[in-house]
Amino acid sequence: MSCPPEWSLGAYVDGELQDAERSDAEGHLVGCERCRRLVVELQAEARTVANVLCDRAPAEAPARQVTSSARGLATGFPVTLGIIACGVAVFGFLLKSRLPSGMEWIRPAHWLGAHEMILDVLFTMRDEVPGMVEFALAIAVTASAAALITFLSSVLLRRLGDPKALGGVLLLGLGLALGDPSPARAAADVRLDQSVHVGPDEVIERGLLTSGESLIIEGKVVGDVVAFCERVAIRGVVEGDVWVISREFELTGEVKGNLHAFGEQSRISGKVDGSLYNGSDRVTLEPEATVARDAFVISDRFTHEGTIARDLTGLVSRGELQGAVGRHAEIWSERLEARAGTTVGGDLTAHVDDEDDARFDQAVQVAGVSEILSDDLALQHLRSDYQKPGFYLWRLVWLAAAFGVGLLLLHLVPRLFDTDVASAPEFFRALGLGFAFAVLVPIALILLALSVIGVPLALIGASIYATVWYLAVILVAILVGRSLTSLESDSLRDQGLALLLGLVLVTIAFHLPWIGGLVRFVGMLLGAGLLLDRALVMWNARRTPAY
Amino acid sequence: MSTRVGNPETPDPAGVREVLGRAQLGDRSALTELYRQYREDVDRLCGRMLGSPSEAEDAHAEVFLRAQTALASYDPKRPFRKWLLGIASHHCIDRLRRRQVEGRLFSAEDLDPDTHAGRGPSPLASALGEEARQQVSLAIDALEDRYRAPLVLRYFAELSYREIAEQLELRPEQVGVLLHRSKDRLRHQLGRQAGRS
Repeated sequence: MSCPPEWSLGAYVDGELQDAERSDAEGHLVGCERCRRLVVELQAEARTVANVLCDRAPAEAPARQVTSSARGLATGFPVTLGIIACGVAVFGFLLKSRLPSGMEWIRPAHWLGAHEMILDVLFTMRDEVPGMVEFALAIAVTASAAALITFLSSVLLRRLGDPKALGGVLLLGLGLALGDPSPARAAADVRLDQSVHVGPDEVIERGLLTSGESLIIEGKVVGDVVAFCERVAIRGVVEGDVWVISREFELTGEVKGNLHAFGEQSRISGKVDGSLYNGSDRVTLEPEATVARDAFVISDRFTHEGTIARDLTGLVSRGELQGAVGRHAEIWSERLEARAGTTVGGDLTAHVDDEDDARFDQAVQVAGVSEILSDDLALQHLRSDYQKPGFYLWRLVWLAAAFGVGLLLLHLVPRLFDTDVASAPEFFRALGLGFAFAVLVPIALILLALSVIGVPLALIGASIYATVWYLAVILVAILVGRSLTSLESDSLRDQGLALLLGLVLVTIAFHLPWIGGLVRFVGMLLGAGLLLDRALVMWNARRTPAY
Repeated sequence: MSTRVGNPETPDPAGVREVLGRAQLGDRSALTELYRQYREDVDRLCGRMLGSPSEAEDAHAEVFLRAQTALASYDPKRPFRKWLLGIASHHCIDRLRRRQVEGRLFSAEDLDPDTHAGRGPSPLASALGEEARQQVSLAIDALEDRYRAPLVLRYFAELSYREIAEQLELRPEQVGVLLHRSKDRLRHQLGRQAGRS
């Protein structure tokens, strides 16, 4: 349908068309951008002529409601902090008091025993749920990742202008994300059989990805191993990293990279040349076990009789130490026992509820400071943190980095930060959104990783996830800064000042004694929620013509 | 998607209605009050329509005289301002016609609805600053009577196309074309002014 004459559009703007003519015009406008633009222009002209004839100043563009940010934050933050503080108080009370038997499950440390439950869920989902669901999930996450990349690249494209440069940037980015100097990641052998057995003389030149009943490696795997099985036993050599989710895990051989294990039972009597990250119900490092770097352990029962060359960090219910730790050993636990034979090259620190819950045998050899910290001493420890100049130095470094990133983003994507927390309901909505994001995305990423082919995408997703949290803090800083400076202009300089002020305040707030962690938690959720909301709005606005 | 500028259909505030009521009954003080309230609007309309301050003064007095006479037949349901400005425009148009040699305001060409080819961005749409608005004001004043009148009737007196058609003795469809022409002339005028400065 050809475009209507301009005078007809003028009559449309003046609201003077008859019903039939008006719907014809509107029907045409839906599909014709030229006419839409013309209509917008005619409206502006009508306004101008009317304003001039009536001697009215044109309506001011609505001033940014700078104080509204303050209102939303001012009402939302205290309420949220109050609720969480109450929750923590109850929590803390439960932690410390002796509960009648049968009620022990309330104590959070016992949730570590939820390993079994979680594994049951994971294995059941993997086995019972039809592959289509995994596939659909993988597609959904891939699509979102692609959408995110497209959005970012369109923003970059507008700025860089040259598609080839953009292509180069993207490739570089992807390459950095996926690439790895070690040859191990080049490609992987994917085995989805029930039981995978790598024989004693077998060598797998690439990595190995498997999801099945069991995995036994007696030979050699030159790449990384990623396994999701009921039972995993590594008796041979793995030259790369190992990522394992299993009910039973046993290492008698050697892992040249890092070992990441999550499961029910982990028994290590072999050698790990990298670091050990273990989150299992029961973790045992036998006397022959060696970890050449650091060990991080989260478990219900942890027994260490082997050798850890560097630091040991643990979050356990019950810990028994009898082995060697090269540097510092720091363990948070309900009960900790360091028996004779334990040697620690640095400090040995036990965080327990009560001093009686930790027992260090006389014969324990600790080269550095050996201390048992319970709540009373926690405050002293905290204060000492503030006395170290290094603490402040690192805060400054973080602040400078965040400021740089924030400025860059304000310049490239200013509309991303064009958000506001005008009222308490908006605050809570953003908080809820942030919380949903915090919880749902890791689940989605794990499920994606479980589909095996989705592992690289899950890794990309994980880095995007981490980036969002970082940006969330910057956004909150900008909001705080804006509401306090009441600067109306959109110039980069003014926005940068608001950002700087906000960052300083946020840094201080996040590091206040006691409530600092809480404020940070709430602030990050809020920022993430607002960011997501904004990004969604911007994505939608791109596709619908504005008129 | 009506974008009628201004709000001509808002009912008169209670105060005005009260004064009107008294004026209709012949209360002289009420008349004076009405006169005071709407003097500026009438002045402005006459000023813009006629383009000359002295003529506007004459017209102004004449308008209020006519309004006084017609007050008895005024229908309170209609917004007063519009009614009054209707009388004012009617009178101004009469005067404009008298200026023309043939006593007609518009020629056939003025009302010919040919479509113009696409034009560049309008300087009229983007006139926001104080100075720009001054330019627009000058440009409006510099327009010929017959182009200026429809703009004033529509965007100042806020008359509907039908009402404008009645005033100008045209058909309502022709009003749209006329306004389009007027705006076109205004754009040209603005362009000329910009070129000169």
